[in-house]
Amino acid sequence: MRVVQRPKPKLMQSLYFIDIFKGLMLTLRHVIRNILNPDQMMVVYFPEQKKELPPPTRGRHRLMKREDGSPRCTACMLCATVCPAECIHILAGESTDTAIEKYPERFDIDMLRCVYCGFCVEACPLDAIRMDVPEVTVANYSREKLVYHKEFLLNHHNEDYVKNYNPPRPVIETHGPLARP
Amino acid sequence: MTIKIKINDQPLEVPEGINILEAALGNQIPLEHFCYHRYLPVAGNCRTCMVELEGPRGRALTIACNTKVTEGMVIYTNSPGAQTAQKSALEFLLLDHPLDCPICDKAGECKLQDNYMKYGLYDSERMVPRYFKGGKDLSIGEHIILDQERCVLCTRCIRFVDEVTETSELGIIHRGHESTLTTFPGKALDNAYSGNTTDICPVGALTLKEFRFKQRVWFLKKTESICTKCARGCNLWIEQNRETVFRLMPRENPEINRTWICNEGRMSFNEINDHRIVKSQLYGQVDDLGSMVEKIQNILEGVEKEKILGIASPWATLEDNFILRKLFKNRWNLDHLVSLLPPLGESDSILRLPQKYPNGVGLQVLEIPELSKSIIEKLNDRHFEVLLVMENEFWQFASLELQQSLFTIKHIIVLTTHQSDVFQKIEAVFPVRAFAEKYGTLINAMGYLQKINPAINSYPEIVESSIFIARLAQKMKIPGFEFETPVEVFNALSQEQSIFPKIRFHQIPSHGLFIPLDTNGVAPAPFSGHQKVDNVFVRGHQFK
Repeated sequence: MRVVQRPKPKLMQSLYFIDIFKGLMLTLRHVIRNILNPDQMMVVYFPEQKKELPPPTRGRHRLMKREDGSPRCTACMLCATVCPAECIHILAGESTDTAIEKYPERFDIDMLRCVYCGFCVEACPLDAIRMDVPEVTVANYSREKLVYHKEFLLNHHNEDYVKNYNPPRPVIETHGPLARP
Repeated sequence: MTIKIKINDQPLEVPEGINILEAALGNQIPLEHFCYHRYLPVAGNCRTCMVELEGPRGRALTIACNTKVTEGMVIYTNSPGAQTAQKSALEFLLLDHPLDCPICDKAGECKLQDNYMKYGLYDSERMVPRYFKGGKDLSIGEHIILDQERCVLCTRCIRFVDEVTETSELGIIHRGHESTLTTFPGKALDNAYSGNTTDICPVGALTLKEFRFKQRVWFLKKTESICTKCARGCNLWIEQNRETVFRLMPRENPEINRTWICNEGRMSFNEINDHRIVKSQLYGQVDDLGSMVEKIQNILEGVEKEKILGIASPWATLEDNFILRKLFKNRWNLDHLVSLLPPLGESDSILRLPQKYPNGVGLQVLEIPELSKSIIEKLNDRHFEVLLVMENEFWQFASLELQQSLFTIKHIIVLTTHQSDVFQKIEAVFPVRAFAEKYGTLINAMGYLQKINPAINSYPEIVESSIFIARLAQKMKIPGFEFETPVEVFNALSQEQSIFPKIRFHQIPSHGLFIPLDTNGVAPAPFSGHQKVDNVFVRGHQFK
């Protein structure tokens, strides 16, 4: 085993002043540049300003509608089955329309449990649920308000906002109720 | 008599007289089938159980369900010819079948789904537009909804209403691809066993209104149990999810209920969930359990030996009645422990018996008599001071006269499971576990000792009647009541009662244990006057 002595710092190094000054110069340069050109500042004044999120952003869930405005969901429970966090709770009801037969009476997503895995979107056979509402502030003052209900998931998003990022997908050729003549 | 056959070059010994399908399934050789049901006559119209038989002129295709095995038969279920035939038959069945599995209640236990994933996996070769048969969501009976589009015309339901219930409400009309299942004009599928048609339907054509859209089947967890709606003691699966029972399904037992149960038993699942009592009540008001138990203990310790009347229950398990009897034997007068039985109800020659309680024979075995005249005289003389009722809701069926004389007793203590209006007249009501929440044994009218198992644990704070009484006895410092679970109670009971073959609880088979009883305890056999089932061979394979 060979013992190596720690090298002794030189005088200039042990003073630190030069390095501190170098670092402060960089900061000072940014300060001056931001003061002269405030438009190019790389700061977003959240929440007054919101950054535009890129199109493939996985946001919070929304429920899709049929043309007549009713939910596309048929309460098949595949999303609730595949959900690893068990955050989707559906209560199926019987529709008076025999072409639809089954519809969700309640559709609750517990956002506190959701892990944003997106499995529910993959599992849905009718493209009834998407995760594309570009919201990053899923926050509230009570737990109950963070369980999103059917009406909220169906309506509470800006349609234009969603449309800009998600041009309508080609209609998936569905079997079953939607394929009926 | 066994004979030697070969299936897929595997030499087998099977009983004589069974068909190839049973021989294959009984020896863990998978074979696709739809229309065949062990307890129904063979129809052979789905053609999916095609096998190849080795004959003098080479191999020939035949259906396995309608061909009896013979000595030296050589059968192939997985040869290319047989597999092509099976696959093609399945393709025909699926041709016009709607793909509405997401809204179909059968999805998850559908034979068409299972068989496609196991034997099909072909690409559709349909060239012409799909034919829509229509006829969805038709109510054809009190409990049944028919979807004609999903029907694969296996005729299992038709054979069931023809052969088992002999009511013949269903039939197939039209021809070819327009063939449709329907009820005969003016008839509704309203017999007492109509719920079974939804079980035997291999697809979602017949569904039960009470279960429709309530729960997807893959969420349900099954527990073996026994029906408590009559003395037949049909075998059941209790199917629950998150402590809620969603349906009761028949469990195969060749000796008792085959694969059928009556609608009354099937619909009794609501009683497990609804109107339960969970908190102890003092004259109808919820009160603290500890203080109430103390109060009751003081009353029971203070009462004279002869002045307490006990009512045992034909709805309670053997263990519950045994503990109550033991308490009366050790502490009070055993002559004052009686049972109250409800009036006889509807019955038929298929399964239902007039005794609408599950454990009447159990009371006979424990020698607990019915309410006798001498007791009624004592009641009218206001002889009794304390009435101890265990799981016997006599206020629902006893005569008004009897109810009045019972309610004149000063202290009434009731152990029960369900809420009632009469609790205001009752001093102390204690909640106990219902049949879906506890271990226990029942003896049916044919003399089969069968066990029930806990399916749900909704109310972990409440205990079984037997354990409640055992703990009360322990508090009263009566020796011999050191039990923690009903299983321990049964093990003690089988040692004490000479009629039991000294078995332990876990040794009772799931199909029940036959106990030879004297004749007055034995009911008529089920399915009297029906076709004899001689092809019961496989036990492990469960039919849907």
